[in-house]
Amino acid sequence: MWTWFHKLASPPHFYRIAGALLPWISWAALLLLGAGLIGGLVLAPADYQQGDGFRIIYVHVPAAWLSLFAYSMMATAAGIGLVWRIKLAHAVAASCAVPGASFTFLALATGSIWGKPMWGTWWEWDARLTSELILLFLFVGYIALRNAFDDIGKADRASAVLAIVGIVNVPIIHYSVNWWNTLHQGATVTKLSSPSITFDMLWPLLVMALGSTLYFMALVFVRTRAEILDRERNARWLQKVLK
Amino acid sequence: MGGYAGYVWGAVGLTLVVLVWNWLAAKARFARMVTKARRRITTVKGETK
Repeated sequence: MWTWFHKLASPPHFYRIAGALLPWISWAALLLLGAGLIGGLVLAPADYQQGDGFRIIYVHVPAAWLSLFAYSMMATAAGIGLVWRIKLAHAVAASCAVPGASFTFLALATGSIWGKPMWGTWWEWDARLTSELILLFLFVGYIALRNAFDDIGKADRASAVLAIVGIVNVPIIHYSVNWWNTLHQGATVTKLSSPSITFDMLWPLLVMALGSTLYFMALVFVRTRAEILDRERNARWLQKVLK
Repeated sequence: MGGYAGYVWGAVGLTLVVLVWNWLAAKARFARMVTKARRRITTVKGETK
């Protein structure tokens, strides 16, 4: 088991494994996103109160989940890179930033589009919305900090510290609807005992969430492979691979 | 889709645009790095000859 992990942390091994898995993950993501969208926009029944406006959740909820997942993965990888000095971990962390920022932007933007007809406002300084906006600033700060250094080692270390400090915002976002009296609704799907959503509406959401996660992983694979190429450009193994 | 069609399609359209842009940006970055690495290999080989 440890040997497998150790092997996976080697850039040449990860480069090959990610390259082999990429087509499978990408196609699975595309199929699931297509099926989820059809399920959510066409097959799911309209909500009795919100009508068809509720269908925005099929893009909003997966984006919000992925924003938290991307940040957690980025901070974990940055932490591993900082503690164990694994170069690949820093490459993975750097690869999570742009997709993570995109999903956070999408969560805010699609939530805002839903908010206008349902709440009567595009934006409210509510605990959930504000903490999600702080997450976007953390992603943007992480990207800006990385770009501020010419030396990749310094960029890795400085951005890793920011990513680790920022992880405190993730539980705040998740529990904000419980800790504060917010306009944003509480947990619907993650109430494991009984999700307060009917199965006809739930399955497209789960399919969209799985498809979005696979899409995110495919993006991270492509970006990590690019990072490896950038960092290992003098390595002998790369010369063989690129022949 | 009732009176909310504009909002729903706006949200879905924006999501698709961002997802496609992300994919193309990642692929373009990978292609740039392949070209850069290949150029480097060619230069190093040229220098050692």
